[in-house]
Amino acid sequence: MPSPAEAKPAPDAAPETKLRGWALVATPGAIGIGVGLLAWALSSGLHPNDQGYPRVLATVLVVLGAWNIVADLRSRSVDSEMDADYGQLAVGRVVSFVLLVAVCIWLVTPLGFYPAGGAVVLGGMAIMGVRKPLLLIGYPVVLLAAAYVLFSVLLRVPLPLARGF
Amino acid sequence: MLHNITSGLELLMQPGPLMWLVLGVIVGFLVGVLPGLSTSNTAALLLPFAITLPLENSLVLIVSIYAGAAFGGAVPAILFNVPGETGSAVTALDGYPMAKKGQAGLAIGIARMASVAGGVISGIVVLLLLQPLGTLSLKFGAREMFAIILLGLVVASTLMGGSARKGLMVGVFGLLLAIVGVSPGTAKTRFTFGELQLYDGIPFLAALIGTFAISEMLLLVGSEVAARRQREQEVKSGGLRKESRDAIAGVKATLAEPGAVARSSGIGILLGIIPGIGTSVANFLSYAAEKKRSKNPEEFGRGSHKGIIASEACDNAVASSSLIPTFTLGIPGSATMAVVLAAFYLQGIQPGPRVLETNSAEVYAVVLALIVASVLILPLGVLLAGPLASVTRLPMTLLVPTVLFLSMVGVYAIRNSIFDVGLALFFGVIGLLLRLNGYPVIPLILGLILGPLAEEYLLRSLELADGPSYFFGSVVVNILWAMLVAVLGGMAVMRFVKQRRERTPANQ
Repeated sequence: MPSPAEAKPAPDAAPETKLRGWALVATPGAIGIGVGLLAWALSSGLHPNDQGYPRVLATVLVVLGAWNIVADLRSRSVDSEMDADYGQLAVGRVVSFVLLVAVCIWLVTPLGFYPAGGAVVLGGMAIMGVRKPLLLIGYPVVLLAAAYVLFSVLLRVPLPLARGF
Repeated sequence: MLHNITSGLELLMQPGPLMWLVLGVIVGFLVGVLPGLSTSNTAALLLPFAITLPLENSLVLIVSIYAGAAFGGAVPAILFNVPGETGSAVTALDGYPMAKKGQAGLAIGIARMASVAGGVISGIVVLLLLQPLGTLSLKFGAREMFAIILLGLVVASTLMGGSARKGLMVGVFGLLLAIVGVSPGTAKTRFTFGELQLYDGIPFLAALIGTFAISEMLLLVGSEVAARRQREQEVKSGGLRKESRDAIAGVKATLAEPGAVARSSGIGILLGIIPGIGTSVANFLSYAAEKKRSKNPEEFGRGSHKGIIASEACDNAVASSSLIPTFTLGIPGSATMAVVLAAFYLQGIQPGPRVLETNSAEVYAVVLALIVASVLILPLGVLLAGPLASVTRLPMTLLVPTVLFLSMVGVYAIRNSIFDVGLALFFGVIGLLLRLNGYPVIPLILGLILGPLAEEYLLRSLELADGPSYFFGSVVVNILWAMLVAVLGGMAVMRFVKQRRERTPANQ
């Protein structure tokens, strides 16, 4: 599917959407610069023979990151339609989803894989707007039962059970 | 060569590989028809389970998904003007107008037969080319391999996605991440932050599933477009008899254009060999070439049979020929080929010049599997039209959490590590941020795969070198450096031309 940056909806976005657009557009370049600087800093603790290769890559990454930030911000300033693209992105929903998965990963050890996975499915459906109680309960139960038969019984993947089991 | 083909055929014609082949084509159809699931995502998702199978079975499964999806993506492209796969966007140009005229069945029939023809022709050419190209690549030493990896990474990074600078940054990011773990030079750990689970490097499959599958799902979670698209899209089947009639009509219409089939397959074969070109670029070029040659170019875009043939034959031809750089050089020709490459590594086999010596039967079995999978598109496409129609009704609200759950299971199953699941989520978020801004994620995976090899060949070359002149000491390596300079130069020229073109209307 096309990324929101590739789509072409209407211009004239709200100020908060514009701000979000500016922040999002600079993020990949900033990640490049951040990772490059971190790698450069960490490489000083390495054996002298190991320092050269990471430093060359880190330098290239920082340069490319800076180039991308400048170029992305410049292209964004001439293409205000991108604001509307970012306006279509349900940031809250994405952040909730990421937090949900992170919490469920943390819960795998005390609760076991299946209850934690079930929470991902149930919570994910709720975040995406499913409100029918029967579907919210029924689908995760059926999916987990099918997953248990497939992974634990047939494929014998040793998925962890709850602590004490 | 004949001996290798026979061994590959013997390996393939066993109940196990054949069963996985049929299953792969069916999964490929599903992937193609369902928006939000791409071939590479699904292959990455299935890889943790596929690698528990014998090597030939896991490879057959992945490549047959590729073949099935190449056709499957054409169905929603024709019916709703929504390509199920990026390569099918060109199919929609003529398929959708045909559907609007009430000829959807015929358009799908043509797409089906063109896919079969493109896949088979390309597969046969690959069978013939693999051995000579493999022998040629055997002559490459450490410096040539280093130059090839660099060239492959630069070509793939610059061509994948809309912008060369974005692709290059992501590629270098991948190379830097590949440094994590034990240094090949001093055997000391680097960038592991004391985390034992990183001593072997960043777990490749966690990164793969994170950047491909999880980031795609997160993008769907945040995008209203997907939900809207889902509501608009529902495939209806006309029953087995009608599907059979349409299939026969499609076969006849495709065979009536042998020139278009041959030319489009040829373009697909040629472009598929170049890593990173991808099906969308190849399909557009094939379509443009066919339109230029046509006596009635005005028919293109209004339901031309040749337009559908040009796209679909080329699409499946690219799928087969992208196996050549993957096997002979160890440089994946596409995102799905990156997963094939990963399957090799995870089974302890290093693809590249020597793979035709060490695992020739498996390699030829994979090429033959693509040919057989292409042929199977015809009967399976007809038989499964009904069940596929019901699958498209699966709402996105159920699909996304299910794929995320399966991603968690898949990542965990590789090393029984919760750390890996967390890492996959981290890569999912990184992939999401990159995708949102139009950055391609494939170079990240290429960097991760090719990084350790690049460093190893660089170190080996430095040990052999008596000065910088060593890196320019053979004709082959000089050609490769020249190609690298040409790619970078071409990129700069294209950027200059684009900027000038953008400025011109503003000045007028």
